Amino acid sequence: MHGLSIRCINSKKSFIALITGCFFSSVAFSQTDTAEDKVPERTPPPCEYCMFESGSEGFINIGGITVSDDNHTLGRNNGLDDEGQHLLLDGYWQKIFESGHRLELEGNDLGTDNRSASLHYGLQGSYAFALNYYELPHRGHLGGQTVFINERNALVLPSDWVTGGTTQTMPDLETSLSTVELRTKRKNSNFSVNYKALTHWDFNLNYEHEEKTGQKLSAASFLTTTSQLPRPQDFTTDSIDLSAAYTKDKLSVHLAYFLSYFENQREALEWENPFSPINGATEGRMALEPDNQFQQVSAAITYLITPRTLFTLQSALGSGKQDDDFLPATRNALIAASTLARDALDAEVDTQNTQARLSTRIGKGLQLQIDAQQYKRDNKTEESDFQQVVTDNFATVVATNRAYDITRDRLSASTSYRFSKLMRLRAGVSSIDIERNYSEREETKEKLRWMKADIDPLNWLRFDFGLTRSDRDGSTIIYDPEISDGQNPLMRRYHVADRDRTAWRNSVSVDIGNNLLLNLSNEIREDDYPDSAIGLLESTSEFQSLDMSYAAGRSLYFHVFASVDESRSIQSGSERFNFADWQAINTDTTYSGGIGVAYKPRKSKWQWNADVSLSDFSGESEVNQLRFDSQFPDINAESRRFNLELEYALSESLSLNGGLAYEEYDSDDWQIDQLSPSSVSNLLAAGIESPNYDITIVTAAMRWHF
Amino acid sequence: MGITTRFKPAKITPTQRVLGALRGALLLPAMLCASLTHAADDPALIFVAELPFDIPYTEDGADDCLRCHDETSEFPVMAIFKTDHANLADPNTPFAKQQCESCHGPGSEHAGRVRRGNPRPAILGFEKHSSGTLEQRNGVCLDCHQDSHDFRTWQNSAHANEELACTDCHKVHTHSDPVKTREQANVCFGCHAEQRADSMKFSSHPLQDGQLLCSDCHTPHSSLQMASITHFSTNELCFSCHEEKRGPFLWEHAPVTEDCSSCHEAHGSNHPALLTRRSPLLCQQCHSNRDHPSLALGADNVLGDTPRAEVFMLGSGCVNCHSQVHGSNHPSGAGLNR
Repeated sequence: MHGLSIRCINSKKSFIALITGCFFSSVAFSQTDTAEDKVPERTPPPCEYCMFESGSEGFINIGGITVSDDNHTLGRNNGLDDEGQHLLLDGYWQKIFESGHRLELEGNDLGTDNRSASLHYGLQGSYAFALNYYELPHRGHLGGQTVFINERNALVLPSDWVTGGTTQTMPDLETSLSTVELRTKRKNSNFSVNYKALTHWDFNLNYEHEEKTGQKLSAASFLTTTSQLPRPQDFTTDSIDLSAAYTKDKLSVHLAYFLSYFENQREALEWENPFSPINGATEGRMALEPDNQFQQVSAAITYLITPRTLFTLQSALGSGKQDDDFLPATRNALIAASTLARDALDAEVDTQNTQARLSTRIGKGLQLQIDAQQYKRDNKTEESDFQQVVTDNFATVVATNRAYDITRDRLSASTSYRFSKLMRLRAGVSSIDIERNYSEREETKEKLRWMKADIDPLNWLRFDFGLTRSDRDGSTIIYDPEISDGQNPLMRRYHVADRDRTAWRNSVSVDIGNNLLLNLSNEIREDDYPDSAIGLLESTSEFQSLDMSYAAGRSLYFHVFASVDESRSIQSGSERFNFADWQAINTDTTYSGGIGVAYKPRKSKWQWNADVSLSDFSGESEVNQLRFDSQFPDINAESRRFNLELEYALSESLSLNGGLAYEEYDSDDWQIDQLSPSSVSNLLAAGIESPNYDITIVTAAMRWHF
Repeated sequence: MGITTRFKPAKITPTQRVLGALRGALLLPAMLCASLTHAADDPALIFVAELPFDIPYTEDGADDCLRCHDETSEFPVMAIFKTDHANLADPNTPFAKQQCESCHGPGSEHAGRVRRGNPRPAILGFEKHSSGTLEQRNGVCLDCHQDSHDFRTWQNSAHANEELACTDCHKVHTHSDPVKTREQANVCFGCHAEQRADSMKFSSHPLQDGQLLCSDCHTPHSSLQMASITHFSTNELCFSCHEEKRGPFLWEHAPVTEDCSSCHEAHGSNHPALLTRRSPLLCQQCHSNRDHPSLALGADNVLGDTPRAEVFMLGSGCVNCHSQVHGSNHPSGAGLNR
């Protein structure tokens, strides 16, 4: 038995020395015994029974889909969110030429908003061309209403709109509401080429063009009033990915270049103020996401130092830029804002990521792995003063933009030792140092230790135990008014606060004869923020699951799963702006489970599968204060789904297929339920509701193979 | 065989202890790495299919196999001919080499005559309880696939550390390998139960219908990144689909520039937009400024029997006004509301 303990690796120099030492000594001693003992080759004999593919074949699947009701979950991303009928159309065709070239055409869900199509051509192992197109819809909340009308790239109010100081005093509110569709869609076209040359080189080119259009729910405010409104999305992204890989013997090199150019067709969201304007702010204007570009070059080298020692070095340099012209400081003609420091941000952020990993196997049981990583975000954008016109109402103070930098260093070492087939122990240590500017704590240091044990007392039984401990502290926390923006000095933001974390995971697995698989697992994570008086004080999450699958022969399969997921956190705040005078306790609990059966015999005309899945969530929040204790209304979301798919073969070339999907969805969300446009005096809400419905989707189609 | 090296603990200031440990950490692996290269029977990071060399191949190759393993047999295999592994145009495929025996090894004993009552000699199989060891089974796959850069570092990967076999995820004798189709998530969920539970939550990425695949974000075969993500950082990964949030913005929100997962759960949440918590309590975990960010907002501020429905709580909470939470490029947008 070889034991090795890495007790403390917290120095970059030591790490580099370690790698260097290992590298040179390994090279010095290593033999060139990579892989010469190949099985002796022989000419493969002709095969009479082999059914190699040749010629052309394909299928068309055509039918219909009926959706019983509008819905937000079952059809959220597959285009089946609207009540009504849809065409079901899938198809596939391939031709294999005598030269071995293959041409494939494929279309899926062509009758819905989730359609995709592709064309592939190539010679396997030599080159491949691919043209792909797909659409991906996303349905937002149902029931949105708005008084705004989208005209000339602006959200305007009805011509006879009379403003009000509150939503209750807007005389035309109820009669001016119209339905707003909160949905977006991505349309993606991409082209790729893969070319393998000289057996060791592999070249890839991928070009992608994506359009994302639609609108999502957003909000826009004037001082003390605000309106929920549809925010347009009209984005285009073009990206190119080029890579070349060389792999031969002990060496593998990968070089890549990536360019992504994002363009927003809308530079601003302009809207009319439905509330009685203050200081002449009848209109507002918000900057939408600016055009930007990001490019990155990367290189990775993997070298097999010895047959058991592998070294990988990877580095990526990226650069993000953004230079959209600024909007004027305000749309309010009554406010004379000072001249802008410059016309555009001319922003540039450089990223750098360097990683190295050394793995070695020692003997039959011992394995050692060492990792180092450095990530840097260097924001080179010039910092300037900008006079703020707060929500187009008043010119106020000057603010200076901040160019946030971050450097994250991670060093880790782990070892694994398998004593025998019965048991394996693993352990590791990591240190994570993060430096930030404009932070109350400039540097955080986290030390992490973990260990795991796998015990296989029987061939079919396995236990896993894992324990992780980490402690995070860092530099002195300094509340500089320039940085803290009036933050309570007792606040400890959770990503920089001192933190003690303990996590453990236990599981037992049963695997009998490749037929029965059973797994029970329990995972707990506890975070404690010992020096935080205000902010997040503690957080606990617990996850328990059961998973079982059983294959009854080669035709019938069962699957059952169930899980409980609970997370709880305690945080505090201070209304009086001194000591903590209130505390909030959040508890989220989710139960989920399902049962599935699949019957797929090879010779039967019938094939079917069915599953039932359940998800039940409840979220509780409680705020305790000196003057009151307050229990929020619960948030609930319950989903019950049933899904049945079946296929019946009429002949070798013709089959019928169909399906039934049913979902019962009930939810309560105090944040949006019964929140009508006029419920809150200073919030013109969009009137969305949490989803509650029963939905049935029926599909029926005929498949013709040719 | 290896060298046995003992370390005697130094006496014993903390500094000396650290230096001693470092010295050990430097020397021991180096020596072990070097010395153990001679252990030719140990599992290696580069793989050669460990097939039985002393058994001859079958006389008729795949025909000898397919005489028994047709569609009516206990182990039907014909679907292999619908897969890339049986593409004769590619000289690197198993069927362009030794056909079935490229992977299962020389099979003359297995295919030969067996005395009645005697068991048929086993051939290398790929199911968990088959005759092959993990190294043998993975070695067969990697013998070919490690020529690709993507698989070269398999032995470094998280899945290799968990001692997974290729065939734990991949099905070779099926027309379409589920893990390479829209069914992929169901394969991954077999082990990653927490991610399955997350994907069933109210707000999630579209994993359930297969519009997004686990492999769109994670590299199962090799990655140096935490959680084996496909990009060099969490933010780069998120921005590969959410480019509009990439900026750089004039007014940045610090946690956005650092780590999207500060506020969002990647796999699913019961709060809107995959948030870890909902506003205002989520925001109040970092913001405790004077006035409204510090307020203890409770049930008094919620619709219902109580009259004080508050704009800070309902709708989108803080985001009702600070809607540019991912950053603003407006000169007057320092408060992330323009």
